[in-house]
Amino acid sequence: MILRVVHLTGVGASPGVVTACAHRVQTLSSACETDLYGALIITAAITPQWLPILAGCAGVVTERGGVTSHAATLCRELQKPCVVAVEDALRLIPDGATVKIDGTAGSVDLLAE
Amino acid sequence: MLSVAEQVSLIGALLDNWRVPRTSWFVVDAVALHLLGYPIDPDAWADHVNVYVDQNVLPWRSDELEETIPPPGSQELADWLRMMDRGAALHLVPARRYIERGIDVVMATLPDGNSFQVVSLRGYLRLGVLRAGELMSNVAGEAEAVIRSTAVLRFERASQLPSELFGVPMSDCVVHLREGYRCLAAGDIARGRKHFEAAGDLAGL
Repeated sequence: MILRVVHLTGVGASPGVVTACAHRVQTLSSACETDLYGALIITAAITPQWLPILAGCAGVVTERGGVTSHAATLCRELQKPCVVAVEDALRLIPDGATVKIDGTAGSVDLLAE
Repeated sequence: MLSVAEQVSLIGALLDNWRVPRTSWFVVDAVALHLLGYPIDPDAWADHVNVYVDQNVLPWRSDELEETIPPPGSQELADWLRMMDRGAALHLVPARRYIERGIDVVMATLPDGNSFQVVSLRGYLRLGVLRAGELMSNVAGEAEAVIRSTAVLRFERASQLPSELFGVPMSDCVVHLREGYRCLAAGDIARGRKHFEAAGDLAGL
């Protein structure tokens, strides 16, 4: 039996609701090699070097961090929705899935794969 | 990857371009201490140059306390991204709340001849105190949860410890460790500090 997780929760870190195609990104260098314009970035954590990538994305989900983490502050400044502290997000959200996030409620919903 | 000194130079040029006075910002943390000559490996911080700024002199407004960037679509954001293309990674912290309380800074001259303010060792320690106080007040309402989670974690870890080590009961090992740490008494630390001061090698202090 395959269990499919359809609803994840984390901490709402930057307000806004967006539905976009999920792209799992393990490292900054792999992010630089991928076209992430308009994508929902799923990653472990973010540093200031991610700024050029964040500027073009639809939103961000991170496994680690809190409301003062880089992901949270950069997304608030860029007015992009962001949910942090979503446990196992990289494992549970498949590449290419249509995902809706609510950066206020801290919810992450997989709508389709 | 650029050296941290080269990155600080690019950051200085960016802030100069925005007419942010050089007296209104300073480099902090390991990069600052490296620029003052302390034997700190700067590579660990090459992706993350922390700069504290009086946010009132920035050409944009932000309510953020830990990090700020220019607004989307602004010329300043374009300038910032261009600087990043050249290899500088800036973490800009709105820090007026610290600056108002007095932070020691000194001038550091980079290999290219540019001079910028960096936090002194004394200022770095003071920043640590101020930030610790801020963090403590931020979690004041959650103190019980923090203590509870820490205590539970420690209990779980302690329960995984063996009851003895090399045939010595664990309780005796703890007593032995405590005795060992006593050699680092306050008096020894104070004498050591005095020696460093006499040697005159505590830059910025």
